[in-house]
Amino acid sequence: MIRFDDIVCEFLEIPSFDFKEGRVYKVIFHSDIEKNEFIDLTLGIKRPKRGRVVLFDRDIFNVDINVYYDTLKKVGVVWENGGVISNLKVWENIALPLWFHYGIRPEKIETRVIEFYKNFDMDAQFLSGYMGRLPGTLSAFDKRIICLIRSILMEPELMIYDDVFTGLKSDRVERIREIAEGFHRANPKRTSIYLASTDESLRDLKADYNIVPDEKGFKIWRS
Amino acid sequence: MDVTYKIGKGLIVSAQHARGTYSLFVDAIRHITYLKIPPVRSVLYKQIYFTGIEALNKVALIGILIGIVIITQVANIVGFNPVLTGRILVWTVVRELGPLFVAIIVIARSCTAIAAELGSMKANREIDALITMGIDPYAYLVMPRIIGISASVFMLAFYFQISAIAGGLIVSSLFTDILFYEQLKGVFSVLSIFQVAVSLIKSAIFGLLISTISCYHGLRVKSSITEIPQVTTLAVMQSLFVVLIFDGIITVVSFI
Repeated sequence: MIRFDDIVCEFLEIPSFDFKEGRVYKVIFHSDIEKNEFIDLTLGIKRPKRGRVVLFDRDIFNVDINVYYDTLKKVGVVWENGGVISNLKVWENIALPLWFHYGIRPEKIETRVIEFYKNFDMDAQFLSGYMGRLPGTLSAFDKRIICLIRSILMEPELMIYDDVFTGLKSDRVERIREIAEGFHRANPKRTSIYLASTDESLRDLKADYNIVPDEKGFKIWRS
Repeated sequence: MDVTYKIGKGLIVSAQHARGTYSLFVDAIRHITYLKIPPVRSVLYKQIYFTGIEALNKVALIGILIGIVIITQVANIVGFNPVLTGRILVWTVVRELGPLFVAIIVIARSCTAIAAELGSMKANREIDALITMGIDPYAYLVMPRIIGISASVFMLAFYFQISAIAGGLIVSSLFTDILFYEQLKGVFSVLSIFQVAVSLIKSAIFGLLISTISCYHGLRVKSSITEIPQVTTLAVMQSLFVVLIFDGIITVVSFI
């Protein structure tokens, strides 16, 4: 699904590594800088000094721009800061990728969104006001939920969770984990990668592989 | 030596900015077919609303005041002569002041807003978030802003010219025995389609320049929000400078 070939970047060096489909990975970096560089490399945002990144069998830094954006439709990222677009309302943020890529109007996904928010004790009445808000006033948790539901609606084959549990109360961590695990199981080919810059937030997460970057590349062990 | 070095460095930086702006413009225009996508159209409509429609009353007011000032000054120098005042009104408002004043108003309102907005989106990694959704920022953020601002400047310039001419003629008809209709005839006798076309083309070019420069500088922000005021100031200054240069070029090419 993702293959790193002899990567040398500013902060990371990854000799050769494959993220296989259908698996859950937990990657603990030494710092936010390393973690962000890993995301940027994986998504073709930051070009490495050397090596190549193959995402869904495509060399992500050497593909046609349309193929590049088409490939990224198969990837969902839940950002630590929420990754929401500040000038769009909550509702527009959730609907944007579906509306942009498939022309699905926001009203068409209303039922699914309301159903999803019930996981977090938000009913339709509360949501009617909440959906019209701009993200500037929302908490990190609210933003991550927007990002999570936006990604889930796109049914990606690869999910990347960027420090998604950090700074959250245990009941909220539990809810998000249940949803993420359920979403992972819904498609046997789906790969989930949980990233963090400390092992604390991912301690209770069940993963097939645990990874820590070291001088030789990635140190890997099975759970 | 030091002065030469500074001038040379300044020229190199300006050339880099010019190249970057041109390249952004070409990239954005290549994405024009994305306007058929509803969320992209929504960004376009919002831009036209914020830059064009929200500025209508201010542009109209400034236009009326400018028209009054010109008519008063002309009448003070040469007396009330419908043909001459009409001619001067057309020369100043249609040929020059309309596009230029509207460009300055749009630079003050929208250039700063766009550079700051895009800069903040870049610093907060919102643009990376768009990319990871498979959404090309040139298609979703840049192209509709360039088209929206250009269309707005074009429309506002037309509106400004009508307001200025109407304002000037109304004041003039209030203080003289010459009827508003007679003065309007004076204006139309000197107004040619060529002049109007040059003026509107000039406005559209100003719109393209302002919007592309604003987007270019906004997207230059790397990761820190402290860069935002710097790029905003630069966007305003460069927009003003480039608009004045192009104004001179277009005027010379068209009317000499």
